[in-house]
Amino acid sequence: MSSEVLVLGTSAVLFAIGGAGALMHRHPVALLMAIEVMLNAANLLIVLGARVHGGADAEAAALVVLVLSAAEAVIGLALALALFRRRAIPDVDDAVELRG
Amino acid sequence: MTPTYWAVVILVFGAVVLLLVVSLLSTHPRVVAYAGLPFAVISAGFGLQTPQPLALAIVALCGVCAIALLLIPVLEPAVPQHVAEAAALLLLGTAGAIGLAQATDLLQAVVGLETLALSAVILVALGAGDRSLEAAFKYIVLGAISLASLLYGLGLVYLGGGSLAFPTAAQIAASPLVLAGIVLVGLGIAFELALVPLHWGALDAYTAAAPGLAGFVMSASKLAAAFALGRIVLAAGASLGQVLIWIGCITIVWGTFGAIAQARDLRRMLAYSAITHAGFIGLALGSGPAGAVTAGFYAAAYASMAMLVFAGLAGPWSVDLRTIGRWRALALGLGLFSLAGIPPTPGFWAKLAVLVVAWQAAGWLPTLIAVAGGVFSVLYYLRPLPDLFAALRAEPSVAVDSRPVLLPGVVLATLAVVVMSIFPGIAWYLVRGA
Amino acid sequence: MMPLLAWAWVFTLPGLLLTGLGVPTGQRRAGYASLLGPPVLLVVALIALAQGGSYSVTFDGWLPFLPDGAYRALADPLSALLLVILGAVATVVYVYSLGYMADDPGKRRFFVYLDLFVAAMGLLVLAGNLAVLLIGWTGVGISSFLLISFWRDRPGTLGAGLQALAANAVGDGALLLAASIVPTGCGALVNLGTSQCTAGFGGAEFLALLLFVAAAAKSAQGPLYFWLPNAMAGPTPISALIHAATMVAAGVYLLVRTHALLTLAPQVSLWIAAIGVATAIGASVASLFQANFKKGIAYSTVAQLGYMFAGVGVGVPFAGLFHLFTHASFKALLFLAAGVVIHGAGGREGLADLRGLGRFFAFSRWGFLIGSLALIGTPLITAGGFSKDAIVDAAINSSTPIVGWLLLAAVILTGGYIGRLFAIVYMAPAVDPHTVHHDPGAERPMNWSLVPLMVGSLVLGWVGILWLPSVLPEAIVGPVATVPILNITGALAFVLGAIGFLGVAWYVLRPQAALARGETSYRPDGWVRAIAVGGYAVSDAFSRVQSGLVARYAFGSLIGVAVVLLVRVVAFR
Repeated sequence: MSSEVLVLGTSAVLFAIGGAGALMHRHPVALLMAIEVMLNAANLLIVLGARVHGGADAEAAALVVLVLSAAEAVIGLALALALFRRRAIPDVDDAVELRG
Repeated sequence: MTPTYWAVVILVFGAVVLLLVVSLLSTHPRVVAYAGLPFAVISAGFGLQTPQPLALAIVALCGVCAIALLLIPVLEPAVPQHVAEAAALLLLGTAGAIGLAQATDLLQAVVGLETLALSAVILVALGAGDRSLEAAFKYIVLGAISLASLLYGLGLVYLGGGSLAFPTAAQIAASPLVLAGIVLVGLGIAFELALVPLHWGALDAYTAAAPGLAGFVMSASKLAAAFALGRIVLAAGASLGQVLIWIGCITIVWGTFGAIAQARDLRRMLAYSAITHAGFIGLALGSGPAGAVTAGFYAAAYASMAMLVFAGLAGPWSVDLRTIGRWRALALGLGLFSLAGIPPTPGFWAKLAVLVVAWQAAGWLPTLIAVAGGVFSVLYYLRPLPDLFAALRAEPSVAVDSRPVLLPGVVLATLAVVVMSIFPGIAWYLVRGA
Repeated sequence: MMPLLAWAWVFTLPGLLLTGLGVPTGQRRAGYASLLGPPVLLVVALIALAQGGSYSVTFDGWLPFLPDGAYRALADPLSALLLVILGAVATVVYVYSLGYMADDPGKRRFFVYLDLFVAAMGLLVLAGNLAVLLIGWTGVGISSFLLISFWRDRPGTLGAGLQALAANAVGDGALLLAASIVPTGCGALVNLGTSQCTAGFGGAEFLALLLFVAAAAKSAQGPLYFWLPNAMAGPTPISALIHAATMVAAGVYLLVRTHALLTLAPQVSLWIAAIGVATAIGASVASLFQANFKKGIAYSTVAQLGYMFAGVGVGVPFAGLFHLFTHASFKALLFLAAGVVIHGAGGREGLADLRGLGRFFAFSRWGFLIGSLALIGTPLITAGGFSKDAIVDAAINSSTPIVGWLLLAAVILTGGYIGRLFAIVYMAPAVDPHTVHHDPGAERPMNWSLVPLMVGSLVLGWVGILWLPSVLPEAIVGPVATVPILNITGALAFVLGAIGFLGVAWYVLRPQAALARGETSYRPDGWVRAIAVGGYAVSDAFSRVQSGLVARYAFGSLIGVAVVLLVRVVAFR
């Protein structure tokens, strides 16, 4: 199996793991970490593309994605902190005031 | 430097100025709001110099920003120290939206999208109470998941095609990777547009945000996403269009039925209605090249009426309709008429335009679904009106909280809707040309 | 005068503004500013009708995204006639409302809504293409909704309004579809019969079908009848103006305006006639079992509209139009006369409550009698005789004479139901005379506004025979060379109607007769309620999917994305 296909497979598996984690974890921080895994899987794919086609635009894109992931994480964590501050064990399934 | 570049730069600069300079000089909400206004106006001026269809996007986005800025002063009781941040985020979000609307390749689209989305998330959080925080948290979690799939799609497109530009139909046909990638990218932007099956977070965000900010989040995201998806669909051709038609129809059905169930909760009904309108935009986007232009026109019409409704509702999260006073009640009534698609309001013209292109390009069934979704919407939009108008002559015992500080915002939004009612050709010219 | 008439829809807007802003002040004078609009409309329309000619206003390029995106208004004798009807009945109703709504705290809002309605109806009639027609069409629907649900403190008014909106929505949808599918350059209503415009999907038949559905929704025909009886939840003046004389006639007007298209669509024309007849018979029977005074009269409106549709369906639009003209007068008379009694009885509308109370209101009694005679079709002395006869004759002489025979037979039902109402309210011994309360200040405008309608119900038939064919366009008058003044079928119809009237009146006035007990409220019929309940159940299901759990949302998103990807990549290859 060529290395490209291997990396492609890895990124797909990582994406799936991250997705499963996003669905299963109830702790907000764990949820955000799973999402980070998904974002990094996508980034891996972009880096693979850069390697295959040798374009600088994809390398720039990969760096931009890192910045974006960081921004998302910051805001997500801040919101999680504000929302779950008063609970001993934070659980996203507790925040169900908005429904219907 | 192109006018688009200047439009974005001025808005970003304005956000920085507001955040760093104005907030140190004065915390009076009206000062902050009015300080942000010139940046939006100048940016709109630059927008008028851009070629169609971008002209409509920039003018509409700056208009939405301006109206939202004028509605900021009523945020004060909820978030007293954060008025300057709200104003700065409005400008920054508009800049991101313009960036997304004018994007010609995937990276520009992602950067613009994220700027808009993250600003929107914080704006949603800037309401009072846990409700807004919960909505913002869900919005960012779901947004991050859709961003991850969008980026995955970006990676697939690059892997298959070697370029970050919007792939053409030929490139899509040549490589299944590019096809899968562009579908994922389209869906990622469809999250911003709030199409089913990615509407969950948007529903809560539109419901729980403070009224003026909710209007901004709804309108700006739809405008930007409509124009961006329009470009993508124009490049990609029918392969992406078919998907959008059916997603659009499902969204119209979902939103309509969801809204009917919200007889007691006006804010939630308006959120479901936003989903329904997103469905119309999606349907238009799928209806060929003429449809992409119509989608932009629809988004602009929707932005004007959404801002009008929320200008009428601005204030605390849940407002008692009997206390909003005469002018805001009339504005709210006009806005609801427009959302329901009553002629001659802009909502009606936009719906009619979508029906025309849908009939020509999408077939009879999507058109029928769109017609049904459009006409039966009167059942939930017009329901509050008899009570609203009866309360125009409020009982002496009911204190009227008409909030004159909102008047400039209400007037501006009403003007926009009235002008679009009588002269829809102006917006059409900005998006299509002569 | 035609150029001025083309802008007639703005005539009530100044009144709307002034009344809305509170000019003149005070409860007694509220609405005075609106009083000028309808008479001006009436006078201008009359002069225009007498002078003849036609005038059209066109602003091209108003809606560049439509196949026909111009603003087109057309003032011609047909629209002038409708505007005469609108102006006349509106003037009478406005004066009447000064009395009827004298003590109502919402009087000012009432007149604002009335002005809105007259403006929208005017625009509907003056519309020259589908886009402008839609503005007027939806506008009258909205004003109708606002007026039906006017009294917010009474239960059931909002529900009745929503029923009207729902039925209207079906019609609006059909009209919207028609506006979207016409080929380029084809929006002008009078051009809908040309070959260029019928070249689209489904040809002339499909377009005609869409217009028929729209007309049927507006005029409460076929299964879409259900909203009109419950529209009686609104104040009586608007039952007369909107739901008897004008708005419900808009469906007939649309079919008459586009009759050139209908001649190219014989299948749909047959359906129009059939549904008209079925509705006429069904509604007449239903009226016999009503326990609410206004609902009884409302079913009569549905039935008479069925007659008009039958006239149009057999290819004689003049007959339908003529009956529209006379029906506006005597049906409005019936409603306003009923309103005097209802007002005097304190707002009660049940026949059991109103038994015999009509005897204390002389104007109302005479008015209702004249209206009833006109409804039965008393020849020579009432207007209804000429117009109903025109329809029956036209139907018998058409290619489907069965339509005519059925309509003729149905006149006995007409006599029956109106005789029942007249006998119960105006001839029976009073149930409790002390419940009647006379208010001379309010009654004066009400009583005197009945007089022009009484005159109209007697005289308009002659006007229609002698004058109308000369002022209306040749194409509409067409097959009717001269309308006979009296013939066998007319006499037969009257005899049948009289038999029905006297027979049921006798039956009801027997000392031991039990009155129809039943539903006097405005709740929707069973099948309508079933649809509503079903709709709400589906909506609740959709609403419950939004469970509040973010993991479920994420799951939904990911599954959705996966499905879209799979379908697109695999199935659409």
